[in-house]
Amino acid sequence: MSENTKDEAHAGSFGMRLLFTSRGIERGELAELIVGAVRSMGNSIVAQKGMLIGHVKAFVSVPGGSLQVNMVDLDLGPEKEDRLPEGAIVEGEMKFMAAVVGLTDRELEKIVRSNLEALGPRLELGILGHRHDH
Amino acid sequence: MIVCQLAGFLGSGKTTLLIRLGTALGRAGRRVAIIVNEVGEVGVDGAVIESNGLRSVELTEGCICCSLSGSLQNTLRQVSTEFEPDVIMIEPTGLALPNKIKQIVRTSMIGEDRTFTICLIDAFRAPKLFAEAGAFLGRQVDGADVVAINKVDLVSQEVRDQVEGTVRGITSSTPIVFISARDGQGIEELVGMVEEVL
Repeated sequence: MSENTKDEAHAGSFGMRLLFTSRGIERGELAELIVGAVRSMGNSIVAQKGMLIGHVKAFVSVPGGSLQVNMVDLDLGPEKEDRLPEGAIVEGEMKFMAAVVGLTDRELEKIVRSNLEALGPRLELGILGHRHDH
Repeated sequence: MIVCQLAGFLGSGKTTLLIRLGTALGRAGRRVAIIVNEVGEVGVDGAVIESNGLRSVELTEGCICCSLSGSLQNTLRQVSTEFEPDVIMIEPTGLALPNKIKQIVRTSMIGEDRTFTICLIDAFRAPKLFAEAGAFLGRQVDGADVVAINKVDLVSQEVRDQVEGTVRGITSSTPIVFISARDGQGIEELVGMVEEVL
């Protein structure tokens, strides 16, 4: 197939997979951090492109549970499916992915990376991988 | 065996619907295999599907309607031989074109009885999406056996009618169903449509 539909739609994408550790973060605070990061990525996309035509999502897996956050519209805000366990969380894996019409892969990479910096003070992050693939 | 494709633009609710349909068909005793592919490639959708108790094969590093067409064919052959499913459900990226995937399925020689394509339209964002990417969405709708107007729990009857009118401007004959993959509204009807072609 010679046609590339990502190019045809003028879309960009970027995703990152990270490991995190913490001295012990409560479920609610972790969820708030991830929801905040997804929201701020959406805000940055709108600031740069003028609108969000696509989505930003995150998935966090920790021993005994998970958290899913998805945002497709700033007015609706991030939607979350919170299955995190009670008690202090000390480690886990998180994935962030953004796919948006009207921005390049590199522009999205900058947005995702810069908004992940907000997690730094509460979580120790280690990058496992990142991709721009179609 | 049928191949059921859940097409639709980025953020239209494909993964949520896939979980609903996969769970319903599984409960009805159908053997369901799931192949998932997404534009960002770090595998969020596969993880979400698995966290809901379903198993999936995730295809990464490209889009199954173009750069990964060969991988899709290999995976279809492997899944149909090893798992012998009643339904193979495919969730392509939000930037894939259903007609291209149909063609790839057809030439993969897995002996499917039919390919059934559901195209999701996000009712809440439809006016904005059609304004910004209308031609592309039109090509997605064009390849559908049924159009599922999703997120109807978030919009008024007036908006629902407007979106229906927009879809009817693309296709005058394709059946339209109104659903909310999130709260389950209209899902039974869609499951019934899949069961009918099985």
